[in-house]
Amino acid sequence: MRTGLWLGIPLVIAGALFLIWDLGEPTRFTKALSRPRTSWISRGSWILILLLAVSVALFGLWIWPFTMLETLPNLIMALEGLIVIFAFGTMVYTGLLLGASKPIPFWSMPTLPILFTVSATAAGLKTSSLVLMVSSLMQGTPIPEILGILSRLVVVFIAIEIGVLVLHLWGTRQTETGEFSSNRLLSGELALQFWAGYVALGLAIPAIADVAVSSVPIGFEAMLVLIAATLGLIGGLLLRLIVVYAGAKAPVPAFGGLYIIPENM
Amino acid sequence: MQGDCGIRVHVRDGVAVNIEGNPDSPTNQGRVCPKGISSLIGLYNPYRVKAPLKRTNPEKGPDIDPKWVEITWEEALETIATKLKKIRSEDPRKLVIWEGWGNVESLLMSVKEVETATNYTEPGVIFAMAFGTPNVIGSHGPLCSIHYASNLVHGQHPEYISDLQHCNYLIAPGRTVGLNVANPGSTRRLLDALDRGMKLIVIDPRCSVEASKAYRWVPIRPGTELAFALAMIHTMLYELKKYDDWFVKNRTNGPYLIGPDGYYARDKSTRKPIVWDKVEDHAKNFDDMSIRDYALEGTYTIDGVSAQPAFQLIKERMREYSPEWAEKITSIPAETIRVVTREFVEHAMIGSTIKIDGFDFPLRPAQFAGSGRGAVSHKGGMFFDLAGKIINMLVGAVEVPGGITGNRNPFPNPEILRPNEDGIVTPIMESIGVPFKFPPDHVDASEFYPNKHTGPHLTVKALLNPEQYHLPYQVEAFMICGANPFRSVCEKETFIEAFRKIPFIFTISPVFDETTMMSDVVLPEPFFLEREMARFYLVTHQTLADDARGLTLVLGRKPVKQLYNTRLCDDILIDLAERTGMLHGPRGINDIVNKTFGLKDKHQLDPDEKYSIREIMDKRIRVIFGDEYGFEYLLEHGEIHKYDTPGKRGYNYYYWPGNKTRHPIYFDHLKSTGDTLKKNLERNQIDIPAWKNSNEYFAYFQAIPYWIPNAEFETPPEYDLWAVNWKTRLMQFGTGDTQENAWLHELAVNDPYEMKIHINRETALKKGIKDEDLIWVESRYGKVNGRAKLTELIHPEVVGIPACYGSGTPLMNPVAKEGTHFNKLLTMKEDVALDPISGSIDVGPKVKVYKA
Amino acid sequence: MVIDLKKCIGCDSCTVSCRAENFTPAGVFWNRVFKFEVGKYPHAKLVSLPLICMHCKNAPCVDACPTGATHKRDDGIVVVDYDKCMGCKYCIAVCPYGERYFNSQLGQYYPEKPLTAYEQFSKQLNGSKHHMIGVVEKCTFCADRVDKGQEPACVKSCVSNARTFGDLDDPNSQISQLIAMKHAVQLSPELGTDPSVYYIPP
Repeated sequence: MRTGLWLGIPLVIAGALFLIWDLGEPTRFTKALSRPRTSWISRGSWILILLLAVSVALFGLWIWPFTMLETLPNLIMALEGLIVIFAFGTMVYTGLLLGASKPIPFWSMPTLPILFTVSATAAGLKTSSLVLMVSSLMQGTPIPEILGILSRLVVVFIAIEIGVLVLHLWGTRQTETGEFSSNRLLSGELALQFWAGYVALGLAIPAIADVAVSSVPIGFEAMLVLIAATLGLIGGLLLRLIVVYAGAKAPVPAFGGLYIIPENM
Repeated sequence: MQGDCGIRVHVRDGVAVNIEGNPDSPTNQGRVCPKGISSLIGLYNPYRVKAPLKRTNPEKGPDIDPKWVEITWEEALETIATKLKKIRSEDPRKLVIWEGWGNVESLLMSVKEVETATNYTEPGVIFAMAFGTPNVIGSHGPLCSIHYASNLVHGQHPEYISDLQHCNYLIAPGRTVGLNVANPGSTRRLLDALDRGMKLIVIDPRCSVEASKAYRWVPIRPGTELAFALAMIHTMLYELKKYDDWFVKNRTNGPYLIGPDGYYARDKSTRKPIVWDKVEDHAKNFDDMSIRDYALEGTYTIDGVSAQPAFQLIKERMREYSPEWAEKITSIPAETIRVVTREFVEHAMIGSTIKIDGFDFPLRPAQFAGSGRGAVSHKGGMFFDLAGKIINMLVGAVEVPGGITGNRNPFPNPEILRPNEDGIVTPIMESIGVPFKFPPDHVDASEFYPNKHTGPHLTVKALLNPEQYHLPYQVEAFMICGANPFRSVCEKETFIEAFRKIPFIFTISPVFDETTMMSDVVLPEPFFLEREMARFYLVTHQTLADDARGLTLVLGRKPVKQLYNTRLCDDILIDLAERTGMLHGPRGINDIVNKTFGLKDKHQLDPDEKYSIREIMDKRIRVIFGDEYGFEYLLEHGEIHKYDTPGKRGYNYYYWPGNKTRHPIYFDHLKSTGDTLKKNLERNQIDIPAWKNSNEYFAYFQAIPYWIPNAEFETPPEYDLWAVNWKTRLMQFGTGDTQENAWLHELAVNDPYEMKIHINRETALKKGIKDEDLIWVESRYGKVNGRAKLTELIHPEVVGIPACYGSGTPLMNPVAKEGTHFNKLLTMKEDVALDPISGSIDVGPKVKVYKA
Repeated sequence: MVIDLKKCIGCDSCTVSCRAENFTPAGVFWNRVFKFEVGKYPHAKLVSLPLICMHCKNAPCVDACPTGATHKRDDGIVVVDYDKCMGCKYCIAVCPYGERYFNSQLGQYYPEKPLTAYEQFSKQLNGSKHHMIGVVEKCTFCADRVDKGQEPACVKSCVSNARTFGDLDDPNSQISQLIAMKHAVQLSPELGTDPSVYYIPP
């Protein structure tokens, strides 16, 4: 739990800073909290803030003079429970955020939040195995048992991810504009990133590597886990980029032509 | 070009912040085209001329820095006046005045403001008339010489005007009816007509916006519109056998008997043209009241000489021009030609009448709207326009409701269709022709091209080869005002060379265009929003409905404060005239202004006083609209207008009904112009300059149009495509400094069809060309490059280069040079590319296209 | 608003009149005219489709805006309060019509020269005409003009009189009758945005 928090929270903070930095008016980021009733950005902001708040609270427990509160297991359990909830929220909301964009059929599929959540979970698992591997390598301790379990879990999640992806693509192809979008990654300008980047490097190779982990001689193990986790993480990033770019320019059918939405961002 | 639209400029804290249409203006009715609105940012173009300048670098070229030095107005005017005085005392012809559409408001420079309809010996520009030079060169024109046929056939100028109020079937070859260039008045009238159910047939190599709204788009090979028109006549006469018998007999010279020499057979004693009364079976004078019925066909013997009705000759000439024949030339299926001709004749409702204010007019709601620049600006193009007139006359759709009607100012006007002694509408302006003189007076070879429109191309050729053109004097100075032939004509290098030969050039200009860069002294003019001017409206180049018929209009507005040290063109000219000694006395500026604008009695200018242009405009407004109005009133209200000739008096037919006047359907006048010129040349033992074979030249001066393929039909096969050009709503003529305008440029860059080279998708793919590829278009005379736009909207054998982009100088906004300059593909070599009648340059060269 | 594509000639008078009215910086078009071809030679034609903010009844941008900068006025006009916008661009992502612009910089008309007096003037203006870096902007239906009882600038300047502006909620208004009579349609109605801009098909 501690390792997770030590690693996760700074990453979440860094991510949030990136989000703020990306704003046109970064100083106004607090305004983002004002419309949680309708806006997924607002909701996401709340989720992130709460996640961070709870995490900070939990951190606080490890710092004197609050360490004595550590003796209250219920409190810790409660906080940890909240962290799990908000962390899950963090994983889910990106998908929901894009999914709320109804005009873009490639995003507005129920499969997208699932896809992102599965991918994020897989990414979390990969990060964990990466950290465990690196720390064990650095400390010279033997590779922990749990890595094997993680690898198998990753394979499972990759399998789910592929399943959801296929479902998502099939779903998006039911509309003209969605098909236009999915064609962009299946055969269009994003095909290279999709097939070579995401599918091959981000899914296939990590899956093979993770399957192979159990059957390779010791020593290769570490390398395979490293490769699988790193590529897998890059794949996760690529997936998000590809989905964003594929969806952003869906054309509108208009009077016998297709009106291509220009890039105004 | 015209500045027809009333606008309001909103000024806050001295800054012009918005432009809106003036809802009171009957032309645009509150609407404004993109050029008009964008003039707001044109006003703030930081590249403008800001003070009087003189050059210090003797080397001249549009791209060479003249090393300008700012001078005072006093120095500038004195320098120029000293030169002008000397030239005027020696030989006024040595001053050549270049005018253009850059300043159409100017009263002293603008040709169109002056009624030269029947007096074609005057140059028509007040300043030139006072100076005494015949050399006024319209820098516009050689790519758009569309006037002769309308001048000749029904006394209209610059061309006829379409009555869109009654027309139900309009064939538009190689032109726009106003919509493609977003002219608010014409757009409104055309859309109203389409809404009402009028069928528009666009004959054009490309499918424009207008063609996209048309009943039919009929793609055609460029330069073959004449073949299409001839085939329509053939179809009417030989297949449908349907035409307006009454109109041809009573309102054309169709029944006039033509002798073996090609001219009218005449009555021996009265010298009147004769016709054949087929009821009484003998010849009679054309105006004999006892004629029972005119013979249109047959051969008759008069005094032992055989003669045939003009109609018979025309019919015979058209025998060979079947739709199948035309299909090979035009690429239009013979069946389409038949269908269009049949629909046209049906819609003309031959024999129908309409009562307007109790007066019975023939109603002919079908028009062949010839005179399109794309169709006429070819070697042989004037034959197309003449053939188009024949088509209209065959259904009787000339000067009657629904047809091609009057346009000349003031319009309508009983003078317009006044018959001459032969009973034929009196020819005007270009169709009168410049009288022959040897050695010639004109620097632009007017004596050799008597019916031509403007002659900038011929001018520079004559200046570079004075002996070949028999020019008896040396030109000493150019005065330039609102003109830029470097851009509006072709062969830029020839122009540079000719301009370099001129010892002194001065220009009145708001911008550093090519002519300014070639000048010795520059007098800066305000941008048009800064001009305190009245714009006197002309009906020209418009379509017609009741909102424009009989309209007299003047537009004006309070000017924006001048940003720089600039002065109004006309005030500069008045100062120059005073210093040159041509303001006062008989034939002085004041005297000519009085005559030209009808300033009489208390509004008359005292020949010995000096007036500002503001005072002159005030008097002119009072003369036209009455003393309760004036310049101050105009500035306050933005416009003054009245309708002089409503109802029945809005049609020229009303003044000359029945057989009171006749349009020439047989163009003996054209033949006689050619025959006279030939005789004059023989008498002086000279030839048409620069024509290898003068027989080829005179082949165009014939009384009946016929098919002559232009020079591009002889091009080697590797030139497998044709190139065409058209004006767009962002860039028509480059006047109003549209080429430097930041907003228009941004629109052009973002438009998929502007600044591109249009090529048919299939043709492009065969050549391995994709969208946005950089391609070269090469004619036998020049080449240009640009980005390819693959499109279904163009004939497979044609590439299209829109507007007049890609021409500028280093001192202009750099965006002016962007895009492709179509004119570089053209030549002005006379016997290759010129139409001998109109002087037009052929604008449809054969080209080859390849990837860069 | 109803735009009659039978009448529209794609001249961009609306585009520049919008610019003149709203002082939009170079590169930003609150009004654009999209052009495309229909059919194959020789049965092809050009269609011009003017595009502005559709001021949707169910505007996804209003829902998506996390700060409340994008909001709907009582009369249904969707506007952006530049002072509240934090530039997250989510509204651009959710707008089906691509009618929102993010100012990563303020473009200049004559980029190699100082700002024109016209551009300088806009800096002293308030509201939507005072353009800023870092925020999202779009067509306001010329809310200032509408408040004064005038038509939007694009409607007034339109050369072909293709645009009609009025109250869609009033079934007797000229615009409501025009929609019914000429069978005007919305763009992408299946998205449920219920745009306030209707098109009479070409």
